[in-house]
Amino acid sequence: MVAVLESHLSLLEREAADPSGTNLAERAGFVEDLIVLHLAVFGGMERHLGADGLTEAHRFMVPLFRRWVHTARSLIITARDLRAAGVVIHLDPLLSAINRAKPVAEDFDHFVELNQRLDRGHAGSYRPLAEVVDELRSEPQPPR
Amino acid sequence: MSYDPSLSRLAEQRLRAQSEPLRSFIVASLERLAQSPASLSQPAKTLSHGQIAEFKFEQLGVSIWVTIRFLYGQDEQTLHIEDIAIEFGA
Repeated sequence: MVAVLESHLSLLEREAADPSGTNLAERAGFVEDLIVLHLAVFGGMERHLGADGLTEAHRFMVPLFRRWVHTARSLIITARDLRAAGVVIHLDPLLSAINRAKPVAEDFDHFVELNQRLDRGHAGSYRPLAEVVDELRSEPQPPR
Repeated sequence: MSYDPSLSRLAEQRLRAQSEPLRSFIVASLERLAQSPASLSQPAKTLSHGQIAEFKFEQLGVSIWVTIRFLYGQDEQTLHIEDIAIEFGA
């Protein structure tokens, strides 16, 4: 099944790199279709994770998730161009999926170690939100 | 039932990296989540025994998606915020 997902992802990568359409509306419609298909591929990838947290056994999925996130972000860049031209594309499901993909695509080692620790019943180190917020109020903000 | 939210080092780093008004929105989202975590979350596939909650912020017409991964503390009074993922839309 992973080979099928890879094959679909390759096709989406190619199409997302240069979305076709002879006019703005056609191009926007094509991008919306690509987003629907890209989310469907993500659904298939996510199913392979199971429901018990990331483990070392999922490492083979990391390249696929990275490619998926890269393509999703290229679709967002296209959506920004379309928005500048006056066409708004609904991106919420794509943004949600990107954030759900990040533990695999961007923070895999962290989450595997965290899950190992949690499964051993070891609590981590945490600071109360109120304490952090008080500290932040007295510090300069990061640049925008 | 409300909980006391607490941040992992990673979650704190993510919060610190944001500028206002997004930072305040994230803090408000965490406080809202702590008031009613069961109704605002669903199981997280990537975090063992964890939950996921999502919030949307609009800034200058741009959608910003905030995804919070957390665990219920064993004391049943604390929410352990493990990660705050932020993605900018169009």
